[in-house]
Amino acid sequence: MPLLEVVDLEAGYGQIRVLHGVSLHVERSEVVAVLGANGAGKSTTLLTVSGVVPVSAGTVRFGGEDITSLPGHLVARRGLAQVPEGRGVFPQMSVEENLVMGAIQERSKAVRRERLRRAYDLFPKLGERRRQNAGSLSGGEQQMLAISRALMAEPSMVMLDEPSLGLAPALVETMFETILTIREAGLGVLLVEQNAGEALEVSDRAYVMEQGAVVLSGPAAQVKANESVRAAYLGV
Amino acid sequence: MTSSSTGKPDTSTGKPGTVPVQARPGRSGLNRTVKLVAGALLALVIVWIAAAGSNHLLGLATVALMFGAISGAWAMAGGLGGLFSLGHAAFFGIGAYTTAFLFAGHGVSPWLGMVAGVVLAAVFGACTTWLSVRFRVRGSYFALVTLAWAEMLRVIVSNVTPLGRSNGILVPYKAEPTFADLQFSDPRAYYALAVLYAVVVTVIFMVVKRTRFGWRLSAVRGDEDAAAASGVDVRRVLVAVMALSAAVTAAGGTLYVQYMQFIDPELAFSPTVSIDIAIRAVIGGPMVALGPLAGSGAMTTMTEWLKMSVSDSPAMNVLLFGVAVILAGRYFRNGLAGIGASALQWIGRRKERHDGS
Amino acid sequence: MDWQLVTQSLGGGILTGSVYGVAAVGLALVFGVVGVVNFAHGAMIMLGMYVVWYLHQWTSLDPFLLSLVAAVVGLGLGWFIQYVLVNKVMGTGQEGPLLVTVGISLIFVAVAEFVFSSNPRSVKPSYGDATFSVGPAQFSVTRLIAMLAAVAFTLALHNVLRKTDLGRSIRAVSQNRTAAQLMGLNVATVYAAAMALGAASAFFAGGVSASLLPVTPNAGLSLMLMSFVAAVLGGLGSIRGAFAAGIIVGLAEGAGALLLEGTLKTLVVFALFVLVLLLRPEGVFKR
Repeated sequence: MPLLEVVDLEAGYGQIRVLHGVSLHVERSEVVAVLGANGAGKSTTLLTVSGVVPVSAGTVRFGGEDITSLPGHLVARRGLAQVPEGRGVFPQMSVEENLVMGAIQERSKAVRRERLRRAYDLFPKLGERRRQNAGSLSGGEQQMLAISRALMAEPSMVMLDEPSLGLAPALVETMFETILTIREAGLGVLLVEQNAGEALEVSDRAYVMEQGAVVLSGPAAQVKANESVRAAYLGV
Repeated sequence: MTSSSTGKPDTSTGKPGTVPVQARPGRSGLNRTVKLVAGALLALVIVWIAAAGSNHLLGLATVALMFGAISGAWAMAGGLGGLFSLGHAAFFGIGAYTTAFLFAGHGVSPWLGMVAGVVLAAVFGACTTWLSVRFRVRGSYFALVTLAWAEMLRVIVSNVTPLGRSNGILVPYKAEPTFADLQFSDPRAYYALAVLYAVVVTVIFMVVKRTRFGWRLSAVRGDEDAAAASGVDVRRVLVAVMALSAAVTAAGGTLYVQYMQFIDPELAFSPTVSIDIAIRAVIGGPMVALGPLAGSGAMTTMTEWLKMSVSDSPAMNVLLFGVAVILAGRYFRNGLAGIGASALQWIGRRKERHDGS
Repeated sequence: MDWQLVTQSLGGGILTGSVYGVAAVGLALVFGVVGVVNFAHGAMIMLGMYVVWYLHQWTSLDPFLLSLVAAVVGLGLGWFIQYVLVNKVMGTGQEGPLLVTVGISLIFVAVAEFVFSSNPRSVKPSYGDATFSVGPAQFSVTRLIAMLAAVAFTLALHNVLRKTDLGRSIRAVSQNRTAAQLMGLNVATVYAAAMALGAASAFFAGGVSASLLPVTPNAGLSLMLMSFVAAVLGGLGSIRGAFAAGIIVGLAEGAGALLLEGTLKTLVVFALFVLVLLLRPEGVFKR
């Protein structure tokens, strides 16, 4: 049974339909990439799965349970985390407060401290800047913060929306390494990326979206070899 | 007309006036028939009150018409223009005070006073709205800022000796009233004047709504940036509609003060007056020409009914208005007119099903 | 210029301004988090006055202590209002929340008139006649305590927002609603909490004012206008800014009293308001 299973998902904003029947699934310990041009509906897919954008048709199952009509906050509480587009850090809160927000559903102070320690182990930079406002961090640091914050909830799956956007090449490397670390911890990862080449490097499987629908899917190597993918997204 | 009460969220918020074109045979004909019937009924009631009404009823109807029409003036800005004002007392007060001051103090005919008040109010409305629009003050903040402007006038007028400070101005009743003095010995004359004023306001509203100006307003109300992109001068359109609304409101102030023969800062400028003006339109339906008049009629009727049968405390009244406003905000964004339209649609659908089967 | 008069007016301005400040804090909080201008804020202030007046009649406890009770009443009422009414009209433009809060305000004023009539009431603490002097000026002790209470309440609220999970959640929602939702926060609940705290500060401001002003069903309006000017001046959404701006508004009013007679002093505040609009065109109303 897949960790996340999305079947014929349709959604949109107001009268505008953005997703026209998206189906995909993610297993535990698996990194799955979603590729596609701007406006293909990748971000909307993530937001709809997270319950932030309401579903108009189709189903979303997570850990075997139907979460289709669950509101956003309850989806998050079930252990499906998301690092939203643009990182979504709370700019006027300190780094540490941002991390604590990730574990806000966890009431035990001791548990929170333990998770904070692990976050700082993962990204020592964050520990150095714990008192600084998140808004004053560099783009790369904000991305690390956003990922760490998502992990603070100890989710069973993380969805990342364009994590490499606006990062320096060296940081992009670190970021994708982190994704592999997350996979090794047994989590499922759904990765939305424009940076198709790098994303396919770390992914097990991939989906290609166009105009709100999946047009191609398969093992990463196979997608990478596809002629039209090479032309459109890999610039080869 | 679709209304928010159908449960389907209208994404194009704030423009309930746009009628989605639905090919439903006979509906628009039915709509027109009902409008005609409603108009005819209204005319009948108006004539009946004039012919057979007691002086008390006549007085109530006069004030209901005056404030209904003023509320119609409000709806030009608050409904069609999307500029929700909670400060229309400022314009009403300017009209009333200018007239009363000129007439009582200097013997100037109220008709000239009306012209002066209209001009003053239009200028005041244009300037204050320009400031707000220029500095991107919209929605709730716009409402609050208008409230503050009216308060400002209230404070100033309460302190100006020639305007009678907080005692106000008593308008002298001429021994032999003439048309030039806008005073009459027959209450039916005031009533006729109120009817005339209401008709004029309704016609102006309809003209505003149906001309290019109205189209621009509706574009600005729907999406300001898109309207600007398609070449509409947003600032000018909004300033113009508020100036018009202010001018028409001020004329109402003139009629009111000549009818009541008294004005003071509370009666003219208090927030209660502003809210009263706004909610008559909100309850009746701010996007439809007859909406504010209907709302005004409903409110006056309710007030009287409460006075006679429940309690003569004005608080009871305010309480029910509060409930009505909440209901309008929550369910009936198009007021009574919207409810009527929904009912019509429902009847139309039933009829259709009936015809079809 | 008369030095004594200057001290008296400006000192009085600071004392009064702190009450505007605590009221503004509530308005700014609700605006910053929920994005709604609460038109019932003045009516809430007024109800706070009556709560203290009534309890003072009944128990003769210190009115400033009773203001805390008023704040608790506000807490409950604010939650209820947001949860049951305002949350239902969110996301459909500003007119929904505007109408609903105006309606609530009308209902509150009507209820106060029903229950307490429109006769002005007053609350006099046991030390009501005591005064103290600063240089040549004399102030009543009541006003000083009112200011201390306002400062203490604002500090407490500030700490709740800084140090507690609830406060963090409220700030998180105001800074990034979607991200907050992704942290498992129920935005509707957080809105209700923010309105509860906003109403609590309105009720508290009213409770404190009960010893300073005549208590009438319409007493909240001018306080609401002053607190709105302060909230705008403070950059809507900032607690410290709103409080500080409250003091500035009080000072402006004090300065107005020096320059203009009687009620005209308010004009200086309105002038300040227009000036703020002109000087901070983009900043003022940005969330």
